[in-house]
Amino acid sequence: MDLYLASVLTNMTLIAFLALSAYLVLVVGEVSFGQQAFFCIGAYLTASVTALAGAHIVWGLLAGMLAGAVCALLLGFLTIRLSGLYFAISTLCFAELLRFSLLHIRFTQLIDGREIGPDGPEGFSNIRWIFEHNYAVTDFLLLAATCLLILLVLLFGLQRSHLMLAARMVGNDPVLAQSQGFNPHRYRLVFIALSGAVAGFGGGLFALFNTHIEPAMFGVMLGVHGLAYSIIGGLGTPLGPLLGVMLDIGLLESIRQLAAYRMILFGGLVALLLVFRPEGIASPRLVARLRRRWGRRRV
Amino acid sequence: MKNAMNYAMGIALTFTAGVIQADMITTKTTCIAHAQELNYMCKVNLSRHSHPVTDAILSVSADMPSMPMAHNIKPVMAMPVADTAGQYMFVIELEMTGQWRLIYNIASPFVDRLYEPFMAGSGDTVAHTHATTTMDHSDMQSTDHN
Repeated sequence: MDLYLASVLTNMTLIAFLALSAYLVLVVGEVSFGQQAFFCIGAYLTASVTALAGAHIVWGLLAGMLAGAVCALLLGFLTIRLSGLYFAISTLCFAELLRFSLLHIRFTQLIDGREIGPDGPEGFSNIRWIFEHNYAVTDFLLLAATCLLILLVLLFGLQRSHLMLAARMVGNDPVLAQSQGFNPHRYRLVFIALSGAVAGFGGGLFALFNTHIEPAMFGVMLGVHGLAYSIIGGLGTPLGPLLGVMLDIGLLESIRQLAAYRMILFGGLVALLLVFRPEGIASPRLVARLRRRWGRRRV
Repeated sequence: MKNAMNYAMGIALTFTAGVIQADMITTKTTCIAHAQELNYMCKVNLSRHSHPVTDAILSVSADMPSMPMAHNIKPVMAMPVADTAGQYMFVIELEMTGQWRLIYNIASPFVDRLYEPFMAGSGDTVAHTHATTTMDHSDMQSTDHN
């Protein structure tokens, strides 16, 4: 496979984790502009565990995932009484607070003649796992795609579960859900924690692939992209955010002549979709209709 | 005893400095706006512990730190400059103005990846020369980074 294509596909796979984490928050009816914070926590922690502590990447990725989940849960507790615009602003504030804090965190250690560790605005460099294990871009693509596939299988398994159905009910109408005996706060916390775990895991993979991360990478634009992919793709199925990723990076990447106008095109596309398909391409209504049709055919 | 301790420490420090020096890979890039505003002709000096690295297989790409994964620039091969050891030349076309980072992928004589910050389209469209930055791979220091 062409290295450039493999690199683009890897980037699409990695950002899909962020889009799926934004999707999980959207399912419970909230909008988060701060998913990049958990992505960042996962990236820094995985980098620290693998490059500083020298542990295996499995531990690094698990640590990133767990840290993302715990931080998301903490943020969920702190914002338990907030919803709508107030919740969105609080998540953005948390992400920016984290990013600005990282500009002042310096903890480097000399390992094998290299300065490794977070170094303020210079970032965390020398995350050399892929070089030490002779991982080519295609190998890493395979690893990231396998992880994404496992996540999708888990999310599809969750789709028909009681947990997901209750979460969707909470997302659609929390008052109605509460009257039916579902505690909206509990479902919100569970899904926010899950979203943090997904973002943290994706962030860990991102750090390993990039070999260098810096606070500037985890700005609001990253969060907006993740959120936009979920909204464009639709909330009907976990494949929705992936559709969003494919539409932006995949389609626009293939039209290189329009590269200079890409952000304008992307903005226009989001605006058009919000007008004509406010629930996204794979909206819950469309997915339900397809499922009914599919069910009839099988009968 | 005290002298012996100082002596031992001196040897240890010399050894440590040697190790740091052994892994120090630097790039120094100078870019000039070429043909169009966002099309740059660049020259990069690649050195390893102050010695130029010749016959390297070097490809160059770029991305925007503020929008990671969203902008993918197709890698271009850097060709060695005939009369300057360790100097390579490449032409790269960026997508928009703003803060980018050049990504140097070295495939030979060693495998490594280096990053160098680069500000595109700062307004000088005739002959934009990027401020020379030196990046020490072991600590990623640069003169104009952030």
